[in-house]
Amino acid sequence: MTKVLIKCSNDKRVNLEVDVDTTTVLQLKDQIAGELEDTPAGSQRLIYAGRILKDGDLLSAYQVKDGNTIHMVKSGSKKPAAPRAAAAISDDSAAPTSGTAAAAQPAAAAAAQPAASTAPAGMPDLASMFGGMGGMGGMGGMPGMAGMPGMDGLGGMSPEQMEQMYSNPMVQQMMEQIFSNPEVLRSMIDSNPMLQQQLTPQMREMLNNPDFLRMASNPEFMRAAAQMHSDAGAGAGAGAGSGAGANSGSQPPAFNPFAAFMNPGQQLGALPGTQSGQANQSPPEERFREQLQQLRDMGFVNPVQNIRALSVTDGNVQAAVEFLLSSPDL
Amino acid sequence: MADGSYVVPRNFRLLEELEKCEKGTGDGLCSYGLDDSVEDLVEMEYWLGTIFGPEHTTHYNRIYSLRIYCGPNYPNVAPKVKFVSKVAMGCVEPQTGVVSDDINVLRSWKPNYTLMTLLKELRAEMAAGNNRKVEQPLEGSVFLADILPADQRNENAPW
Repeated sequence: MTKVLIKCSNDKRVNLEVDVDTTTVLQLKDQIAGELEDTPAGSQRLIYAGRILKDGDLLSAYQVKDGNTIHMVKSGSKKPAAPRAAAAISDDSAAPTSGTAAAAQPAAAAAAQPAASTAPAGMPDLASMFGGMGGMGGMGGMPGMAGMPGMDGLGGMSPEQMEQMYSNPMVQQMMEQIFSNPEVLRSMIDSNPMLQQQLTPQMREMLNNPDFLRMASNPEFMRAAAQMHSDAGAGAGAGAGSGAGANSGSQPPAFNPFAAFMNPGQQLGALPGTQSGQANQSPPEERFREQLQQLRDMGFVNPVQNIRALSVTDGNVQAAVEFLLSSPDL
Repeated sequence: MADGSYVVPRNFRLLEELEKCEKGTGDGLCSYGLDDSVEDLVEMEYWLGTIFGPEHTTHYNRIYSLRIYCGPNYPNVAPKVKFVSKVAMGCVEPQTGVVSDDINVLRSWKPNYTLMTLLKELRAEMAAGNNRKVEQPLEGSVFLADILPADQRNENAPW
């Protein structure tokens, strides 16, 4: 018999004697379950010497020897989903529609701030919502939609925040509500002159199109949009959105979500100046001249990538470096 | 050595680390052991590690498996490390799972660092900055973890 010590993540210890040549991992787990309350074999994960022990294997397969320690961690209950987004939303969401028209203006204003600014506290749900619409604009298949000032809200959200947001049932419900009720949407738009200016005929048409509304209120679609954003990188997504907006007059209405992502660099070129909220801002190469120099000094020699990274991070060099290093396609 | 630093004998040190990991010292949040699936165990080059994802992160409650390669000059030269379990982290190459040599613990590696130091630092990295909240791939999915045939691998491409 071999003595093993089971060390639990909560500091409990169990001493067991087993025959490593006949005892499977599952049998060991059953033994542990007998010693510990609330720890059925199914919720145990055993780790020995850098390996996760598989239920069907014999302990001897892992060279467990006398006096050795096996670590046990419980596969705990599911972690609370999307804690950040949920916390941000829960405050104002009790009456998601009643205040919508009145609140649309500040939300749009907040969303129209330059990319990478985060929405002010207290207004997170609506700003997120506009970011969400921008996300759809970013798909490129819906010309005009991307022209909404709300598009800019997207820049403030990292892909994972987007994903979190889209997977938040509260947001889904809210989006559904808005898109399933054209009146709410229209009153939101009508109450905001900035939005009205932005509203192209195509966009009005789109908002009246039940197919689009159905698609937009479909959580799967939202997730797909979010997924594409994270795949393409936030920068490319934002660029794609504004690119689509700029081209809305000429772009064929064909639904082609991928086209906009094929060439992030090109869309990046479309970024400065095309967004109404940023009309007064100089192009990124001027705005970020200092930071670009810094990046060059650090050895990041590709100006297009550098500008993209700085645009995404709003000129934060450190974040830009992280972005450059972590972007898979660079 | 010319600069006055001393050279830690590799095998002596690795045997010491092996003994420690089998005894199970440590908290179980990080664990490592010799990879006995490779043919040559005497060299103690290939190791396996696990990291239990830190709390309050998207990694929480996952157990990540890693491979570690200790070259002939370990511990005077940093080991190489790659994730077997899929993970999304700034310092991890998204196709292969290889951890960038540029992270702090590898870049400024010191001979008194151990494999446990490495794993703990990687775990800290998971809880740092953006890595904390990056959405993670499906739990249980893996990077291609093949090790090259013995005659094709070298210190720079140990996998």
